[in-house]
Amino acid sequence: MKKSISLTINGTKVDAEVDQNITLLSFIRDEMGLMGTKEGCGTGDCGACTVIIDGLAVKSCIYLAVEADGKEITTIEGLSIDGELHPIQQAFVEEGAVQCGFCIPGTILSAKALLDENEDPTEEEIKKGIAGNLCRCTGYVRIIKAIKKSAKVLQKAK
Amino acid sequence: MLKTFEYLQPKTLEEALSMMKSCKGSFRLIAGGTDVIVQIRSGKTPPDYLISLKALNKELGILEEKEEGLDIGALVTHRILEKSPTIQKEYAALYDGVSQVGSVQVRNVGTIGGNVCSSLPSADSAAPLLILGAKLNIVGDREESICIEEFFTGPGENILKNNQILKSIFIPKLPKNSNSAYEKLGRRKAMEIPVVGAASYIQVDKKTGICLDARIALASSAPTPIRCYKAEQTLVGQSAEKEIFVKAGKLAAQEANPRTSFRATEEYRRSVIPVLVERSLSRSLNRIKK
Repeated sequence: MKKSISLTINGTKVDAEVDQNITLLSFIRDEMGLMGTKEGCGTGDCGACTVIIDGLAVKSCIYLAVEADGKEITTIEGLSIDGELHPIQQAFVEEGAVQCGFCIPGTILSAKALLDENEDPTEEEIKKGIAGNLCRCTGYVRIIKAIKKSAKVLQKAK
Repeated sequence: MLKTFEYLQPKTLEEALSMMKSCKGSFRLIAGGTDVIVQIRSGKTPPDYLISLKALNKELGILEEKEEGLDIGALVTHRILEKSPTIQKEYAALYDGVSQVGSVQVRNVGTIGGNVCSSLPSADSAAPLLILGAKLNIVGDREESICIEEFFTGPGENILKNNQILKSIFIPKLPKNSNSAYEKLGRRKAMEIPVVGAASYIQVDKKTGICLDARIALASSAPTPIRCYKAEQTLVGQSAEKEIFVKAGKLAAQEANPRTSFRATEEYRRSVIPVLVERSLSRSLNRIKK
């Protein structure tokens, strides 16, 4: 059975009829065609599917699409403006924080939720903030460096 | 796509209770969904209906400080609890527990009521609630309040009947010169279920250093989260210091009934329980001294 939902994705209002038993992740990828959000483990462990819902980082693979009704959602596609990378994305590029890249959209969104709430996090707070995003390539050192760098850039821009 | 179920979203607690009564077929309540959806995704047969409590935030989502203690609505998320200055300061064991559930993304969605009602022996909020003297406020045909000790009946099982909902959790204010802590042993620091968790509460006489009251509870150490009454008794009337904490730890290990799972063996669990109990008690004591 379908249910109608209306939500905002990356600033655009969307009205949709969704099956009650699909996850937000599959709605975003299969119905909205936004492929930046990844499915890793599918059981809420790896964080590759992280999106921001009403300002909070959430794992979209264990979140039902029907429950996103009325919510405001940001995926990785919503960060750049007119082709210009968001400062967090830019810092990841500059610091070489990306290897295979599969975990990066989720990691960047966790970083964004963290920095929106805490503009100058300590290294420990950064580690806690991205603890739910597994990266099997980098060892996290450059990811943490990139988040620190982007925090400075974002603070200056204020 | 997940296996088929019908998703119901009542708008009030009353509507939820009447849906539960009129449901023709199996149903399960869902709050944050961080357990329920994972179980369905892992292939467990879903119930015919999922009754979501998400729209009941006005009734079940309130965290309220009262003179006698703290009222925590069942839908309050781990993240909200973790960030509450009152919980950080006055109910430190609960802070230790909820701030170590999963990761930020899980804590943003997962609720304390869900953690308690999933009733896993490993629930990170359960041992802290046990030593903090929590009362569970349950609604059904009537409203009743029970001690959390009476709630858990087995792994994933509790006393709730299928016309009852956990509405809120009450924690009484702690007396002077008392504090609490929860120690979690995992194989990693995040996205982890405890190999063993140890919560403790102690109250001391500030002048003499004598332990006036003590409570100890364990996670992942028996089929349900448990209190360790013998270990508690050994502390009362004694000088609160490491020697007696070690003894209490050994007694707690005797009271425990751990199992072997892929996370750890029974023997390993039994041998780390004393260590964690001692650490937890020492941390509670240090927090009193601060």
